[in-house]
Amino acid sequence: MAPAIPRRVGTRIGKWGLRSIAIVYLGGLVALPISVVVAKGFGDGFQTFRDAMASPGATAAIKLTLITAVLTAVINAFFGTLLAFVLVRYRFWGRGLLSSIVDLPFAIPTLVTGVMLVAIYGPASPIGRWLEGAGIQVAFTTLGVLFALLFVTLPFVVRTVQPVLSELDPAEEEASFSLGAGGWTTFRKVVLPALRPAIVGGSLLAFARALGEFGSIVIISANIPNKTLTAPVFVFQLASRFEPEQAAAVATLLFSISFVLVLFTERFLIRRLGSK
Amino acid sequence: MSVTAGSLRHQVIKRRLLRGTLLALALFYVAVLLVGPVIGIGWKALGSGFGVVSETLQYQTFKPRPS
Repeated sequence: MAPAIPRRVGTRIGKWGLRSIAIVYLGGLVALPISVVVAKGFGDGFQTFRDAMASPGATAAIKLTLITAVLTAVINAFFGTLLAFVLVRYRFWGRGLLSSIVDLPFAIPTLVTGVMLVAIYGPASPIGRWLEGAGIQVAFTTLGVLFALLFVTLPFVVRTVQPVLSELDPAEEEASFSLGAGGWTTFRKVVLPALRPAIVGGSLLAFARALGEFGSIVIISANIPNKTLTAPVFVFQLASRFEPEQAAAVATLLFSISFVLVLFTERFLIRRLGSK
Repeated sequence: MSVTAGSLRHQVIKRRLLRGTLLALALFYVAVLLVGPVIGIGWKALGSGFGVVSETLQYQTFKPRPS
């Protein structure tokens, strides 16, 4: 007996059904809120955006956010890769504990991160006082903002690079060694090219996360306009002052920068490096 | 023979040195960035004794600040 619905039609319905669910989910959860924010921020052209940027400390906040996010991505690209390398390649006492500690930022609420950083590096703590004596102030400065961003984004790089590193075929490195290459040359010519897409991907995630970080920053930075006020906190201040249109305009600028950067890097850099 | 043994020993020392340096660098970064703040908040919370912690929790939960 022939089935009521032919198998080909059933498969097609299933395919379209899954596709529709994915599109509706993505649209409702991501595209719709974004389009509402854009419409709110740029409903009357660029006037609202100009008004928001005329607020004291607006330009400085965006500049500080971009600079610290880039620094965070670069520093954590290096140290995140180093940590992933150490975790995958070396066997030592406490390796499991170190691996768990790397995931701490995922488990700790970002507001608590801010409180933690003030507790250890603030002027009331012995370490904070000692650092201040040495001329280094962490809490309520740009350095504090950078510390918070480094803390929050470290696992993004480590957990992106680590699986790629563990999947690397050791035969390639052995071949390099047997051909007379040293450790550094092997790392540079064999390991690093394979890791590069993962490092770039992890750093991009870190950058995007750093660009929008709010919880830890609001505590550690003291939010001083033109000094330590970052763009997400500035958006929060605008929203608190009942200026949702201006908040939406600055938020749109923030995620546009992030989106364009991520898209650009994904399209050109990762594809190019991946094909090599 | 002795030259090969010497160069082998040199390589082993170099590898151990590299391993030690990388490990120390990674541990230092994690200690300063992740472990330090966790110890800091614990020390801050418990530095004045458990009494302060329980008092704070009781105050926040059951005794709202009089206006």
